[in-house]
Amino acid sequence: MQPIELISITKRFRTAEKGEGEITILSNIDLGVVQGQSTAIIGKSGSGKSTLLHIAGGLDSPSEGKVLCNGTDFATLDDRHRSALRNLHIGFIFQSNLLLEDFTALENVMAPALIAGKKEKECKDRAVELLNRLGLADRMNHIPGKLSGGEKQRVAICRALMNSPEVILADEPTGALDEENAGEVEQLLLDLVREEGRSLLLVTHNQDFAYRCDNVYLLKNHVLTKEK
Amino acid sequence: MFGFRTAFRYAFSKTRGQRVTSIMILVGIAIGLIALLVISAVMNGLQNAQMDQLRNLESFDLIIKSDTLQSEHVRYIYGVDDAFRFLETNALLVDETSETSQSIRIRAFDGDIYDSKRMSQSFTVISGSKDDMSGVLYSYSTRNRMGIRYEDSIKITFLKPGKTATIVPYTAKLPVSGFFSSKMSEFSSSTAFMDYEKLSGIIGSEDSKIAVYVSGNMKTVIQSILALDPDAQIITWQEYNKALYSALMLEKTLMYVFLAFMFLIICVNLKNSTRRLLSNKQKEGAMLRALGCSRKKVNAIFLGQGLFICIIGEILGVILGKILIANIQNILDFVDSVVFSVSGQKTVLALIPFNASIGNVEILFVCIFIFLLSLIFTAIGCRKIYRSEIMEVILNATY
Repeated sequence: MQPIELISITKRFRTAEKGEGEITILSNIDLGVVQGQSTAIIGKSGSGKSTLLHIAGGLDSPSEGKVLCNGTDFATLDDRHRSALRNLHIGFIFQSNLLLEDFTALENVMAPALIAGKKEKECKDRAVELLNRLGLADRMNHIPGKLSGGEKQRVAICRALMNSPEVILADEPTGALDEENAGEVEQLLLDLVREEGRSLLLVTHNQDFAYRCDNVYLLKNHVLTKEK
Repeated sequence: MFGFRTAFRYAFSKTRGQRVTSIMILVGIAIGLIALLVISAVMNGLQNAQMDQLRNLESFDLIIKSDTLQSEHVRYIYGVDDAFRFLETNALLVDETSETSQSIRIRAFDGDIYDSKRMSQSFTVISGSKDDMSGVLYSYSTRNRMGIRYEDSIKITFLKPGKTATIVPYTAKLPVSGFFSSKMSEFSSSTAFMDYEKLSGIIGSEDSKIAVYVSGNMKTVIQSILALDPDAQIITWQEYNKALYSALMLEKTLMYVFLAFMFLIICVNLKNSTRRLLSNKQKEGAMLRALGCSRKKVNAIFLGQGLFICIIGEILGVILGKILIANIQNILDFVDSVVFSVSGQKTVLALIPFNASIGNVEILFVCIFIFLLSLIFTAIGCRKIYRSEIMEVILNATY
């Protein structure tokens, strides 16, 4: 069973002006995220890459088609169950290192596990372990405002790994970083796939990073084609 | 627990001036609550003082009209403090020396009511003696108005039952046996006292009633009286002073309504603050959804931050309000001394002794009302989160 499977996904948006009708962003897309492999989606800005990623994570609903997460169709679940599924099986990393501003790095990493209702002590031990592993041992009690861009993104990666999800969905994870930090984050994500057998679905503009992944797809003219 | 912690952090978030806004709203709620509690306590104090005077002097706790009951019977009922038979009639007072006249109510008690604890709280004989009831005991204000003096003889015209007509005028010249003062100016200016035997000798004792001071449960006492005489007519002090009592209750209700409007303004601020917080934290709300919080949970977090502000404001308001109420007399004395030193006049409040008081039930009622109002307005402020889509918020995040 694939951790994430997209079947015949079509996404249309209603245009702002009245009478203009709808525009199609994604058309009849099939994609399977394979366990233990990294998959990159490349394409021009506005091609619908992020929309596809959000649909894969259950953050957005397709106009047509199905999204299966561990064999469960997101559309058949209510908001509470869909959120629980997302919490336990999917880890998100966003471009703009979205962290909770009023929480320390440690608390940010603990958040997904606390949302899942796990015990505080257990959450803390796991979060400390992750932060140590990603070289943030001395930054765990700092709030995001006191962290550099690279550090924030590493905290976001720790957070995405907190509940040990099968899939990590990353939306331009290196888009806001300088070359050095971007290189570190790229290596970190690819190592996680290789060492821990997780799946990675990645959206990026960075061709080099994309071609270091096991599978590469190009999203062009609303259609997904396999490049590697 | 995570939701609870997040709500608290959001309520006092240091980012984008949220903490200042929250503290201002918190202080607003506290000040509003203090105002509500203090005004209620002062009004309760003034109303209680007024009611106590009425019950001590004017209407007693109960007035019984019974053909068979004697005051001794009533006095021994459990919960009754004291009971006295009394007569009451209206008369015309004419002072020939000063050529002035006025109508007056004359009361006569069978027994030494003037020494009773309740009566003596509100009634003082200034000159003459209450034991000498050979004449009429007038109030100090009647003395000043009519210019009458101690041991003057005043012409009083009573209406008494006649032999051929139902009532006939009867004029007697009665000496002034002394002067009294009471804490109720209306009562003082319209009432005089005389000996029971003397008054019953003039107007008869058919209309005599029993005045009752009750210290126990009023309902139980009434039931006991009716058990002794089922035909007894009983008037409670609330019935006797119905118009005034209703007016005081109406005044209190209206005061609550007007103060509630003040809270509406605070709650509109709370709603706007919640909205502002939401627009500040919308990205984080979307992030929480992405991390696995349900829409309901995220909404509860934002609702919780508003309620945290409200609860802390209420706790602060109750503590400070109680401190202020306990010291209100000192504060009024201080204000009075400042006003007196500036204007040479005393303030009205300093002239009326009262004990500001507010019951815990009343405090609880006010707190629940404010809490519910805050809950509604915070929920209105949170509605936006129901409409926002996570993906749109994350894509449009600008910071």
